[in-house]
Amino acid sequence: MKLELNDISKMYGAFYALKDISVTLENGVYGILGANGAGKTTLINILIGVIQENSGFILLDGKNIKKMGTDYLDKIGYLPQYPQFYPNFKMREFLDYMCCIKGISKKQRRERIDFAIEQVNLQEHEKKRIRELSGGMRQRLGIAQAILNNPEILVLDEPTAGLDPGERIRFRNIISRLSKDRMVMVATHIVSDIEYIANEVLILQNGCLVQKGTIEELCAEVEGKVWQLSLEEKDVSGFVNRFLVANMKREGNKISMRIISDDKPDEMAVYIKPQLEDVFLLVFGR
Amino acid sequence: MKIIFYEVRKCFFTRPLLILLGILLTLNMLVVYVQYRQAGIGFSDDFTRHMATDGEWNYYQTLHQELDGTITKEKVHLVVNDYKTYQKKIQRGDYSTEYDPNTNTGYLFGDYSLLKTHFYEPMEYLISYRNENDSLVKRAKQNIVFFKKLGNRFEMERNKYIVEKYQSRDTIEFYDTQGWRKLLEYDYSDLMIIVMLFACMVPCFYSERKNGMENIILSTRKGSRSYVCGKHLAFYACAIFLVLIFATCNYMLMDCLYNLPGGEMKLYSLQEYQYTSLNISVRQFYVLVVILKCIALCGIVTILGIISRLFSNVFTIFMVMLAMVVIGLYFSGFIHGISNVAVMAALASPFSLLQGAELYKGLSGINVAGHFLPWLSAHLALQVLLQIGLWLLIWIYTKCISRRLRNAW
Repeated sequence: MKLELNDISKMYGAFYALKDISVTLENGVYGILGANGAGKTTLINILIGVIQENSGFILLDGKNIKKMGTDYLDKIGYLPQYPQFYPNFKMREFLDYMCCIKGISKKQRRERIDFAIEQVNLQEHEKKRIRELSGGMRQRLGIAQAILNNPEILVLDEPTAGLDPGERIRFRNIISRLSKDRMVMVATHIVSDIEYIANEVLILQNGCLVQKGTIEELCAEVEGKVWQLSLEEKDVSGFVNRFLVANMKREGNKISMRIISDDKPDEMAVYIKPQLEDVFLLVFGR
Repeated sequence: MKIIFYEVRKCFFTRPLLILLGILLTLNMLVVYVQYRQAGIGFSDDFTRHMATDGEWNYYQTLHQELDGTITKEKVHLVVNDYKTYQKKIQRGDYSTEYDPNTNTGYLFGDYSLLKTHFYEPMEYLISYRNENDSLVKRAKQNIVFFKKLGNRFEMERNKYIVEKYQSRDTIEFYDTQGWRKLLEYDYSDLMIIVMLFACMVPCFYSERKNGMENIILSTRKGSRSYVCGKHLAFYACAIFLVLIFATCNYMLMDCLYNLPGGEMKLYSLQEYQYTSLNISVRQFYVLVVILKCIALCGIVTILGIISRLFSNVFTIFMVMLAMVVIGLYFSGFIHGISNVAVMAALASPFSLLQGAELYKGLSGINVAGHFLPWLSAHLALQVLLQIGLWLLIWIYTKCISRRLRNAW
């Protein structure tokens, strides 16, 4: 399966929310990284057909999605930011409703619901009302509703927002498991959410696609620019003012700093292997 | 179908709304009961158990037991004889105003007054109705000839309608009509229904956005088409459900309080409805009023639903809906209006049908290009046109949502 976005632009008044986005996506997990307001949600809304681009077009396996009609929607599974769903619905009831609007036949509903619940490990809670679910469970329910129609494209908008670390890890594992034979797009500004699961990362800034590649490829661009340095506490502020600091950690009496710089920041600095967070910081941190 | 069920479940069957429904039903029952308790105060002709002494109540009940049902010569003689006896004594003016154990109510004037107000006069109306009505039909027949000569097609058709609807009428049954009058006049439950509809419709579309569901729904196969239409059909279902539940509740409560005897008597047996164009029983008329309320509320919820969809702020939705209700109710006040503007305003307002009982107290019709058209027919025709227009709007809007993705459609 191949999804091609060609020169997609979206304007709100005179402001470009997206500008000339062109990218080709295939099966696997794609992380869409960007700061708040970078255009992630706009791009996702265009992908799921909720808003219309001002220019450009999208092809799925060579067919324009506008000409595919509801056939395209059948291939989409979507989880929005902070979903609350219907607090008074029971979990199974909600999934049944989702089956109805996804046009899943009556015969298949039970089987699909069971499968989705199993995939997200919510079997024990299926009789609960949605209002009784924790934030993490609700997100998992969101995934369950998104995979009911066995979509080829799974679009997740900020899926881990507001989750505790345990739920985050659980969520990442679910996404990894679901990414087999389908395209999963995860829009987020939390780098760690996609660092270990994304095959490729798209970085958006001010509506433009500024970086695209595998994590290794992106990290290669900052190769030789990430340094670690151990300093006395009194010297820290000077370095913070002069360099882009990715991280600081107290180690006994000293402070260990992770610095991104083209040049070696200090005699004592040692080169370390870059991570995706360093790339993100290099793009957005300046 | 199941989508509509789920839409009803989302909009209506939530715990807060069911609690509100319970409160409103209780409030409604209290209003009926308070009105019942206040009946008979002042110059009212109402006669209820708690307003009467034991003697008055027993006399009232005994007379009804003897007289209720088909009016016979014997029954008429009984009432007329008693009435005339009392009347003579009253007219002589020498009757005792003190308590008299030999009278039915304890007082001679009490017997006279009760018999006159609740038996003699109503029975007189029923017996004279046929003659009165026959003379009305006779005049209408004369009018047909007269207006035909003048070439006044509207008046000619109107009189033809009168002849057709009013001829061969007879009232042969006598019952206590108090309960039926109260039931048909009672309209506080309409307010409760509108409050309930506000509560379920104001946040309906807003909560979908707030819950993050709108985009999910719109990104599904049936969602884009069922989202707005499904909700509107669910609003209809809620409106009809509310009308039925309040109507049943009112009927049962009135039956408990007033006993509602003689449901099969003709509507024109009630003096307020002597000029009605309907030839149906009072019970059938109540069903008709309920149906008209269902139609009215379906028209109202279409407009409220569009308002709810158009605005994204709950307060704005509430205020616009409130304004719409106020304007609609104001316009519906012109159902007996004379000027063309007033008539058109009442015809256009879906709230007019909430006054179904009032509409049928007489014959009202409008002049459409020289033709006589009964008011209700004109109103229903206009409402159907209005609904088609509104549904066209909804359809175009839904289509626009669909077209956001599929220009080829």
